Amino acid sequence: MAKVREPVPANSVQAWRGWRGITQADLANRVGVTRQTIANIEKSTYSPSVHLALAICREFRTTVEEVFGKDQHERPE
Amino acid sequence: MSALNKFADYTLGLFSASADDEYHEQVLLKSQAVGMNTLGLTTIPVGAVLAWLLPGWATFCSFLVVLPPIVANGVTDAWVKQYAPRMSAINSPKYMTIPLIALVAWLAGIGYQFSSVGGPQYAVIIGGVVGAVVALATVPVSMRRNKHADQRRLDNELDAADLQ
Repeated sequence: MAKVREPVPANSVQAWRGWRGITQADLANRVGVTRQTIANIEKSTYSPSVHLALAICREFRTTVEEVFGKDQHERPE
Repeated sequence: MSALNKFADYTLGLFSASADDEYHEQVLLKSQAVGMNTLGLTTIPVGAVLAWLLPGWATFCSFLVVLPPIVANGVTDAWVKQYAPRMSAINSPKYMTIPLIALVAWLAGIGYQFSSVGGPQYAVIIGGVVGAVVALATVPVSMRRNKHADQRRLDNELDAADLQ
């Protein structure tokens, strides 16, 4: 069986946070994690659970695809 | 639920309770892997020091230091194979250098102390070296076989669950 350890793909959490005017600390507080967690997600050194990814996307009022998937980096209206 | 699973759940519960969130918990758990590895690597040098310090027959008590890592590995293997295959051997000569040097020093210490009470020094050293070489040759093969056996067993369990 092939090894499936691949680097964590890039995401646009930092960009969305900027577009929505939310600080790392604010986002962390809203989704119930620490600021270190948000910082590591932004740096792609940590891949969040599905539940946390959904919570982050709810705060951005967007979809998982636009933050973590192939549709990311599209600036919201 | 087995005593092992109760112990594992309790231990994991302690980590979950002390972690602030999922990222913190993951890092804490990874730190335990680092710690476990460090424990394994420091055991052999400590055993070597004890072998030289403990006089005469007492030098064999230095083997007691391997008990905690052996028990810990046994518990780890028994727990992990319920959910995922056990790990393969670490195949890194660089990684094994320090433990091997310490192992030689350990055997030399036992041989030295054993000879001080009239025991056959070289028999101990030769026996130890032969044992170490046999272990180095067989343990990686055994670990690889165990991993594949676990994979097959877990796949079979999934197949059986699909049929129900």
